[in-house]
Amino acid sequence: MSQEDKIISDLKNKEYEAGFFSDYESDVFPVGLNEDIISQISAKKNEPEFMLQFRLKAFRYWKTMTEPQWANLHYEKPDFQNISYYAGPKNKPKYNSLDEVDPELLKTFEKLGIPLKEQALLTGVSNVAVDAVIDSVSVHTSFKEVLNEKGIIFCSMSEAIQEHPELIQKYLASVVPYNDNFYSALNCAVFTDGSFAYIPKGVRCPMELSTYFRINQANTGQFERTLIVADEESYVSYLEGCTAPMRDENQLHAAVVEIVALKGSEVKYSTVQNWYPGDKKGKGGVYNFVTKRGICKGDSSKISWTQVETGSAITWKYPSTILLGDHSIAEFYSVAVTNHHQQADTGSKMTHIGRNTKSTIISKGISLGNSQNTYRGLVKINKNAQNARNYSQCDSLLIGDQCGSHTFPYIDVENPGAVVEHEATTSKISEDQIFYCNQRGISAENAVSLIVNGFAKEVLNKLPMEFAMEAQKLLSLTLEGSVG
Amino acid sequence: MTKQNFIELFSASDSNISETKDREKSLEYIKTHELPNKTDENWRNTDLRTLVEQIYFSAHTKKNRITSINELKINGLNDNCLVFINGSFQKELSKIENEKNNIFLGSLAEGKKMYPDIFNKYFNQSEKEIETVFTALNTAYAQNGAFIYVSENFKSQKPIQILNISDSESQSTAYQIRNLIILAKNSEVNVITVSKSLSDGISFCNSQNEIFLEANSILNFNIFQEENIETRSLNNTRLKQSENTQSTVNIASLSGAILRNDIKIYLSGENARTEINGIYLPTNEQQFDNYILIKHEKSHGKSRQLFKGIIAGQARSVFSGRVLVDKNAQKTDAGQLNKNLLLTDYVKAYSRPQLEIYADDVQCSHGSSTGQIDKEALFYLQSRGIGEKQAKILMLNAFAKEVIDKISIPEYKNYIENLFENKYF
Repeated sequence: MSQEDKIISDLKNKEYEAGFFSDYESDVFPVGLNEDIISQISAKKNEPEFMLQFRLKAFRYWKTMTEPQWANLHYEKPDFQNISYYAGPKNKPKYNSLDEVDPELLKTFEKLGIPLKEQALLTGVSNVAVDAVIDSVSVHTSFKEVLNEKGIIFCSMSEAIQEHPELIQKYLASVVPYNDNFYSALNCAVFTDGSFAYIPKGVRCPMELSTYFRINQANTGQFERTLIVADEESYVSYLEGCTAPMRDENQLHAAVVEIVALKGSEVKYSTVQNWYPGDKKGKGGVYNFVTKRGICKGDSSKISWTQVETGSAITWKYPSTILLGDHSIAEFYSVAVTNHHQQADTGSKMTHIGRNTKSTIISKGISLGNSQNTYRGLVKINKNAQNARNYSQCDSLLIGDQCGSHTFPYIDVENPGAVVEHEATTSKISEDQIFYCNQRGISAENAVSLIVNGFAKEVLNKLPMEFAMEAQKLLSLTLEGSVG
Repeated sequence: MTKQNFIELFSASDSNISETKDREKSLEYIKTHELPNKTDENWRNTDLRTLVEQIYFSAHTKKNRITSINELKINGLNDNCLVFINGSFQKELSKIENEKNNIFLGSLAEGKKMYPDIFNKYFNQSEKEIETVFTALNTAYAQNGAFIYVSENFKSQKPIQILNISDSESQSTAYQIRNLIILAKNSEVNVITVSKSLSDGISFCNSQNEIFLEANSILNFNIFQEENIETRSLNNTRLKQSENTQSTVNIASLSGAILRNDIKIYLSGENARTEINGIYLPTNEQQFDNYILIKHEKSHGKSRQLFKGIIAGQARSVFSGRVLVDKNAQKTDAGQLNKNLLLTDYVKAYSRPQLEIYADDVQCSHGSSTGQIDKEALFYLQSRGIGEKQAKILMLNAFAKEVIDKISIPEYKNYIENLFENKYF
């Protein structure tokens, strides 16, 4: 058996492999949401007063809002009073060294293939600093010293609130305000942890920064908050990955990610999203309602989003960029694969405000089984955005006759100097292509995998190496059993 | 005006078109729904404030004061013309040739009286659910309109003109119009609806076209809108196509304050094909919108959309083209293209080319581009001794030609080409 065949046969036997449940002691708040719970979260985190006020303000506003209905998604609305808003490993949340960490927890990450030990990292090929978040609490951040030397701050959100309140006060909710939308308002009120990264002036971050999210407890929602600030002329590449155990009930994940890129800086943000998608009949799975937004605040700054979406029962996610600075650039590359009964409504928003701004959207949707895959995007050229340029391309591939693929682009142009282009195609894998592969001794299933990989390659190429491998693996996993 | 005002206004016209049950259903809908506004996804970019805030008077008591409509007609098309002034039928001004009894041309009121079976079979059958308060108003108090019935196997050669004239000299007027066009099996017809104004007063026209194509029929339907700069017009057109039918719809929006075309084409039979093209030229503070829905319900359907806009002044335009492919509409081939040319700094162009696909064996594509006149091409022309203005006109002409060339009635095509040249010279 050749190496390649072995990989494929391994893949075939796999199900959702991150679907185990780790049994370590954890601390879970009672279900329900009220001002008391919020105060408790804030107290638990030892937060300064301004944070509590911010949370309460968001919560009061959230109570006046209703859930958005416009997305092309059909699901049972979650009961927000039936969720626990805080859960975390019980053992003391702060560790001085990795030896103190609950061995059960370490095993969890080993199983996920995420080495937290720096030694393991150094001997391996990867060169990644990891911040691991389980349920509501950040467990460990590796490579702190190396980063500290350069003046880079990379820590959990709770730590950042304690240690760098001035940065938090300045940048938190500056891109996604507390009243932005239903889920982001909820997130502002109850977010428990997340990652914070600050890259000082002129520093090029020497390694990939990475956060790994995992929902472990039943009946909990995960509300994490990520804030990345790239100061002038800096560069950072940030990765995010996520998994959850297999459960019959739906779990809620409502995160907010904010990116601030100052003058001349560049932020590269990659996600491989692999939350539990539910079983073949569409039972269970994670509701993924995420608000991600970046702002190119300074001139000549750049934000690039890359996402591979394979998990979640419901995805509602529109990573967007505000191009405020002149000559700023934004990119969005996405592959979204839906199988069984998954539903995804995802895309990007590009708001051009500055002059000579440029944005690119490449979105590839692949639908299988009974799934529904929607691209929804907005390109808005404001009045003063002279010479703005946008190119969007969204292609869809349909595999199986029960799935759906939809494209809803919105193009709003208010400046005549702008050039905006949009292209989309929808088709299925042609029989000719499969036949050609068959002819050359490639089985139908492998042929599909080959064609899909080729279809998504444009985007996968944009991922950092370690993630690209993982993404390819995920793709073939999701595709498995789709032919025949 | 509130929706209650609109009810009072339109109910004043002595309408006996709709059945009581349709009217009741529509009124029930109006009771529970608001006038379309910005919170509605489909009306987000259509600013209806100037339309709704205006106070209108009923037009039905007005006396007709014209004796000749030759100037308003399309040059060269002198046969078959149905004339409506403020929604009421003008038999003396119309010219009707009911060719060998194979085709019936007349007003909706007449049609209802003469062919009650056909009327009842088709009237108000194209709207599956009531869409807006305006469509409900139209159904409840439809006043009159054209009725065209083409009988089986008849291929009508002469284009039919429906001339819809707004006249509102002293008072701003509002009226409704409802056209019903039926093509029986194997028939063919060419229709042009022409909207014009007689004076520069304010008017509001709430119109609806219902068109049915039975098996193997061919329709060529043209919408021509050149009204005064105070006219607000909501035009709701629905086409229902059976198997092996073909329709072509050409829209030309030249002038008006608010022109909104809601065109819905249901390809309900196998192998039904449609092609819809539009050119819109808003300037000043005009708003021209085209909302297209093409629903592929059966297999082997084909649809094409081509919409081009030249937007000048402080104008706004919306193109929303939605292609919906049902689960059993396999082998669908759908294409969609929208191009906008922006001439000044204050324009707004919204483009929404949307695809919603539930079948897998399909070929669908869409494209949209928005930009300005290519400076290099302009420079190229100038370097060959063509003045800047002349060069621009040349390029605008070339841009629009693609759409104008789709018009298959030669007289109408000439008419538009001439108008177009005059508009930019």
